[in-house]
Amino acid sequence: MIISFVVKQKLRSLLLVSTLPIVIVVLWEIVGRLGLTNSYLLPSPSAIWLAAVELWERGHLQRHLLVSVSRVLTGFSVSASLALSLAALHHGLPVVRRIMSVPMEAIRVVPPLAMVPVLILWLGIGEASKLAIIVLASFFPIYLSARTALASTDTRLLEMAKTLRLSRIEQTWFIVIPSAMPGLLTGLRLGFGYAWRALVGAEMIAAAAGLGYLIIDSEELARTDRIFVGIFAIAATGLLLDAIFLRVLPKDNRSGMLKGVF
Amino acid sequence: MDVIRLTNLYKNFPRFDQGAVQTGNHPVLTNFSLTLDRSKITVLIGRSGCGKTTLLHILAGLCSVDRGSIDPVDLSRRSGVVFQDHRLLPWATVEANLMLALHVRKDLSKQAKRDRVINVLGSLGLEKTLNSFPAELSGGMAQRVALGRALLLEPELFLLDEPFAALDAITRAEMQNLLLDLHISTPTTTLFVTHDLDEASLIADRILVMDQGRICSDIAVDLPHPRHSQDGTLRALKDRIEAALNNGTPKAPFIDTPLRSNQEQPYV
Ligand SMILES: Nc1ncnc2c1ncn2[C@@H]1O[C@H](COP(=O)(O)OP(=O)(O)OP(=O)(O)O)[C@@H](O)[C@H]1O
Ligand SMILES: [Mg+2]
Repeated sequence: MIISFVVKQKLRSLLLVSTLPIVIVVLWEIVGRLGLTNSYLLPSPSAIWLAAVELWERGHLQRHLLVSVSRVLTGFSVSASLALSLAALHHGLPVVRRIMSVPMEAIRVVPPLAMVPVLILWLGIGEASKLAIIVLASFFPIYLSARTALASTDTRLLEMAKTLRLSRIEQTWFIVIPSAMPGLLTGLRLGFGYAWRALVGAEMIAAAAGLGYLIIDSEELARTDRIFVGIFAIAATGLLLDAIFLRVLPKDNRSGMLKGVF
Repeated sequence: MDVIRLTNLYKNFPRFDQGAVQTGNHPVLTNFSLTLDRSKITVLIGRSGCGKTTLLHILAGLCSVDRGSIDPVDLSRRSGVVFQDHRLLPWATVEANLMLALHVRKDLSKQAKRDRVINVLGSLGLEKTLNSFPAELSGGMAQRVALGRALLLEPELFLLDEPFAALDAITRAEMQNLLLDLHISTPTTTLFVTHDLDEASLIADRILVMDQGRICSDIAVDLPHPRHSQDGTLRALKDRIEAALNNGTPKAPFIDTPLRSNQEQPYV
């Protein structure tokens, strides 16, 4: 009884989530078959599917996917470690933050794509320039939410910790970081989304592989169906990575952090 | 511990205008001196803003003094504090919250620490909450855990800042009795801040009435426990405290003497 109840619930939520996408694809296909749209401007879902299968069989799709995903993972790791350490430093030493504030703000308000020409001049069209763009795009969401999260610790809890004679390091570990945890995780997730979007943009400007390159290459070959394969691959991979991200990151492991007390 | 002596304490809070420019000083304690009786419950009562919390924070080491001396100098390291709110870590169980108070005790084994935690919970009637999170506790239970956390420090000076003010009347009475029981089994020098005349007269061995950063009345209470708030001696005591409170500053409208005596008539 209980199992069937759970299954029913799951089916219902699956139905709720998948109805709209299915309806869109079906309508799109019908419109295409009826010849209401120009199949060059808007290829039908079945044509896109065939193009995807062809690209897969030749091994191109996997290659581009792999390149993009490994780029985003590398870039994001660099950016996350940089942003979190700088946020921690600036939280602990406000003087350093003030010294660095103007240049950092200047970098923040410049869109990463505006830096592309300079980055290509400096770093070439290899991996380095793409990583630089990912870092520029995802650094600030992570850094800013980390700083907000660290600064929003309840001072009353810190007072309490002082009366328990906890050192500053212990206060940080037992109170500041756990209470900042939800904010830190949100920032990381946000930053990952930015990294993914910026990467695809960068690949469209200067790359020899990757999903962004696939789109530009298809444009030059006038293969709209392949362009759509690229777009859908970007969307699907983005959704998948976000879902994995949510799974991999502990949702709330703050009570786990207190294991150090035992 | 030997006597606790505060001598000529001065404490000012800087006052700022909107532009964060310091415009002056707000004196909270001016030439404040006090000697606390060993193993006694001293109750500090006074109007809002007269500096009670500031004094407590100074004793707890949460706030510095501008001038003056505190004897012993490491007093804050030997004190335990209970605040008005429980200040339990919301993401940690009762056990973890209490273990945190023993974190400084590098001399104890983990098992010894856990035993102490369970012991304290037992003495507070909270054995069952070991694995609960603070959000699952009632206000009174959470405040008892906070009390337990302070007790685990084995303080030589017990500081309580309106610890029961946020509780309902019945729970507050229970907590007052609990505190008295704990004090009888382990007499600790205690400084208890309250707004509540009843509470002060029920638990105090000595009552200090504070006004504008000074002690304006120092009343020794040598009455046996348990005390009853409708008892004649206690009512006389409350009248004395009230008079002292009113002498310090012009009488505030919220203390309405005729209304009070009317309210009390049914009990006479
Ligand atoms: N951190 C602070 N900065 C500036 N002024 C402060 C600070 N803390 C307290 N004060 C001021 O010092 C005075 C005494 O405050 P305190 O909190 O000690 O009063 P209190 O007697 O505990 O009042 P209550 O009964 O309302 O708790 C108040 O006028 C308050 O405005
Ligand atoms: Mg106060």
